[in-house]
Amino acid sequence: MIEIKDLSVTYHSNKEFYKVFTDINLTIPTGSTCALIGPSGSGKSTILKALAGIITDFEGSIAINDVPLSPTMQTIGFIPQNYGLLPWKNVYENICLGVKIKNKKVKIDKNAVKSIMHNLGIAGLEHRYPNELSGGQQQRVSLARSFLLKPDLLLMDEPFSALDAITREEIQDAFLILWKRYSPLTVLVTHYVEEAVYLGQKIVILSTNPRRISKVIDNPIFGVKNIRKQKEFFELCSTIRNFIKEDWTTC
Amino acid sequence: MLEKRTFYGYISAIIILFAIWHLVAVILDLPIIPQPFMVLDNLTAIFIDEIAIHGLYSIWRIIAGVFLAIIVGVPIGVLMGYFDKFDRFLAPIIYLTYPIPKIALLPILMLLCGLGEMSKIIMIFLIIVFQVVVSVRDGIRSIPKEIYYPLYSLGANFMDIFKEVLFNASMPNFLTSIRIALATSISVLFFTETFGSQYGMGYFIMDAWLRVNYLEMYSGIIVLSFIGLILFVFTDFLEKKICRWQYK
Ligand SMILES: Nc1ncnc2c1ncn2[C@@H]1O[C@H](COP(=O)(O)OP(=O)(O)O)[C@@H](O)[C@H]1O
Ligand SMILES: [Mg+2]
Repeated sequence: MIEIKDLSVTYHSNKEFYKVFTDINLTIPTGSTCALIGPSGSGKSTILKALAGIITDFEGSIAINDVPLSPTMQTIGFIPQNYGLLPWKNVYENICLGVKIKNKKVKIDKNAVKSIMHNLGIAGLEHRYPNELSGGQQQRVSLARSFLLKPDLLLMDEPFSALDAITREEIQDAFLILWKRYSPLTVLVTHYVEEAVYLGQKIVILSTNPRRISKVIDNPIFGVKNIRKQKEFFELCSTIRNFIKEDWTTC
Repeated sequence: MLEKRTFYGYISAIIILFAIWHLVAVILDLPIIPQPFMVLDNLTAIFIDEIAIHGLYSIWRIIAGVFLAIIVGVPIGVLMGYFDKFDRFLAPIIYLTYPIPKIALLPILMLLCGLGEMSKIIMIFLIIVFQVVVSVRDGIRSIPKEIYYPLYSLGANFMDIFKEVLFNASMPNFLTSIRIALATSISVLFFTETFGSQYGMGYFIMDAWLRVNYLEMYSGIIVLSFIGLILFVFTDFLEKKICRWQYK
């Protein structure tokens, strides 16, 4: 379980202080996913960076299973918007990087790498460099790296937004299959309503002016097979869309 | 080490250069410009007995100087590139000392370190180290912040960051700076070797000149150029190998 209490983040650049949001409160149970959806500039990336331990001087508290958040104590997998692969490492080295840094003494289980690569459909690409891969393949490598870690917390910042519609759906499916196997607590940021409904067990709607959480929805249809083609899916999407339309314009 | 095509490129370049040289020598017909074949004859005759030892001394001085510059320059460049505090403190010092023509310090160096190996190696070190520092620093500064994020969230320490990111990211810039610096350091080496030394290509060439032995002088110039070429090709080779990811 992750508990965010009264979270506020202040950026200071050039002696200017800039408070992004105040008092964000959110609890997400272990073994579930949470989708943050909000207009650009609403602070989605900022929340994620605080959860990732990249922004450390925030106010309020973040705790995982009652232990204060700390990148050294917990295993946190973070996938930034551009996938975060190191251009000088090949696919295999990139996938192993997380485990290598986290457990310096543990030998990497080659079979586990192989099976995750196989599951994500990137077997055979071991020796390629990131710039020899398509965006979709890069994203799969990035997912492989994070899942190999078996993280306590998996964070993804607009993970599939740079991909074309068909690739995006394929990778969403690949993600969901892997996620069901390991079920790490996952927080993902998106600006697609469909993505939030498809991947978020909890859907958190953020708004600007002021930046805050304006609604939390427990998603009853998360994980249902072939849900994307069913009536409930469209209905939930359009409910959320209607809510957003008012919420993001009236303020 | 070399690709076949580049290899043939080098061969034809050598042939063209020698043809021009030959033409100039025939047309001008002066003792100070001997014909290339005579020089090559002389070179093969005296290389092992007379030139090789000087060549080895020069190579040793260059490598020692470059090595020192790397040992000192890379850590400073890394710290300046990664930690703003170091940069704010050191950048003014580096910027003020960078433009000083280091060769002008040679008399002082020779007084402080003597006429022997030390002053020559330190001279090369001084010339290269600034370029190493600045290029490594700039290389690291151009790394987008997002690259670090997944590592920070894993609790990576500075050594991890250095090994996985900083080292690799600064390599292309670093090797380019070494290549540029090598050209300068060979000229400088030539100059320093004309003082207080019985060994080195600089000494050999100037000595041949004083003895009015132009064939030996040209042999020496060819060997010194060849040393430069080898060092260049070696840096290229390292770059292709270590920075292979860049060319894909
Ligand atoms: N490093 C920073 N320094 C100052 N302001 C920032 C910084 N990063 C983000 N911001 C500001 O914080 C707000 C939220 O940004 P962000 O979290 O990136 O939003 P989102 O990811 O939802 O688009 C924006 O107004 C942005 O300009
Ligand atoms: Mg963002």
